Amino acid sequence: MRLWDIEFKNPIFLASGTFGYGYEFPEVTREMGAIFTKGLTRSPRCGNEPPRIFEAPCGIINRVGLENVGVEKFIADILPRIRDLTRIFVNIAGSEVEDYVNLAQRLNGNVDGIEVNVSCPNVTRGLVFGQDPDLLYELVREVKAVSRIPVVVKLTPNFCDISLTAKKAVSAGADGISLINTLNAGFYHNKKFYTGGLSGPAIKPLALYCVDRVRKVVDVPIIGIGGITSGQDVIDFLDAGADAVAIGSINLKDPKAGKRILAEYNRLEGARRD
Amino acid sequence: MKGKVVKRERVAERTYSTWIETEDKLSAEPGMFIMVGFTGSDPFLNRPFSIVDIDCLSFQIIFNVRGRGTELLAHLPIGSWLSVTGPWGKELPTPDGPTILVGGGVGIAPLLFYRKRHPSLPVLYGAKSRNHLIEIGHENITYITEDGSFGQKGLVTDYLEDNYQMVIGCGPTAMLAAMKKKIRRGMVIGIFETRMGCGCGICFCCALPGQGRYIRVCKDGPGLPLEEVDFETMGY
Repeated sequence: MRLWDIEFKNPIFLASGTFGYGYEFPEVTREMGAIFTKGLTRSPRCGNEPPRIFEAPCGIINRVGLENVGVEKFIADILPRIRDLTRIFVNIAGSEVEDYVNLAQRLNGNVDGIEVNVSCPNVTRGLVFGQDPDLLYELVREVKAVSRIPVVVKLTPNFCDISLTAKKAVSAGADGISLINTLNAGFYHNKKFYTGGLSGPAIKPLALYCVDRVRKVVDVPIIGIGGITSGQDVIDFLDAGADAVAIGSINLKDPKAGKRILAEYNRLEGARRD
Repeated sequence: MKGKVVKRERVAERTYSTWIETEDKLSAEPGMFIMVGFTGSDPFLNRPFSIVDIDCLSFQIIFNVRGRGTELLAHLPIGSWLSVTGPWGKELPTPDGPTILVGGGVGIAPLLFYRKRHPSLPVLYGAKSRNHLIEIGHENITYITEDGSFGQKGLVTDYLEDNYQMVIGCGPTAMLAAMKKKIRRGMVIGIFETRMGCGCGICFCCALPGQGRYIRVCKDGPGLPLEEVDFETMGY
């Protein structure tokens, strides 16, 4: 399949933050259409103090807090290990427009595309971009101005109407939209309250709703994300208007789930075509 | 891979031993763990369990009933299917000079596997009371209960002396912190449990405060030299 004039092996990608950097299980990464690598910032980040994960009904709440090696180490040490496995999209995050612009410049020509994370609930400013259409417009315009590779904007469902932010991102030049990131959520651990992002099968109906809604207002490629655990789930998202999907939480339950879901999808698609 | 519950018994108060047979061949070294969960979406994640024993196509875990997942696991009918990934984690180092094993509560589980390879090692094994102790034999094992209902009375660390070259412990974090304080000369290794997502290094959820960094328990451990762990940040 082709998107943005890039050939992908298949429409099933690995969602950012759920499959490390992709070198941990190369036998899986190389089978998948693309990997959206773990959220990357300009400088290394050590992430949040534990606990970072909590079980919710049919899902999980995470508060990893963007632990990552920083862009320079990523380019020097990690990229060479994954470069030939599959298509690489790097999820970038920051607290100022300048951070995103710098990251986009450093990644130009090194990877297949970037995914602008404006929806991580675990950092101070990141979410704000995804919840303020005017700020989002400014951010995407600035990133696009320096990018020579496709710019996908990952949207948050934590906004009154995701079609508004989708339209805004596209009008600023976004080449694609990925949705949805995690939902704001809270949990108690040892009597202390924590906030994080809810993901997993629990959010699939909402994610499907969002894909359908955004498909109706934008014509750029959509990557559907949210609670996919089977080949049938992939088909549901494609039918709702996604051009490709990314699998997330299920990778935590089984790092080889991507291969299983791909096989299920191929079987179901084959049967649909016959 | 899928695994099937083939044997289960209650071994102490709210503590169960379960044998799980797998579709694929397994191999593991002492200190490694395995992720076990349910085949559906609720509960969603697999949970980490120390390996107590393993043969080619099956393994044993021992666990306390703590939450919904372990409650369900403790009462699954024999023959039920489970989701299994692993084994993951690093192998524990082999004994180096005089070595002792220290187990607190269900923390004895990974030490039982270690002792199968090194049967002569002495063990300090403690629990709240007689009802919380698992029967693990008698040779060179000192039993300790907090209420004195079996064996010595007190905490395992009360009976740990600073004359070993290597100490390997598993149990509550407070016990590991006490071990670190007590052993000044030898190498002290603690086997840690944290809230874990994947078990295999891709989610970065199992962070444990270390010296100047977060340790990823699933990749760096779960057995860790205690000098690398920042107990102060954890309130010990």
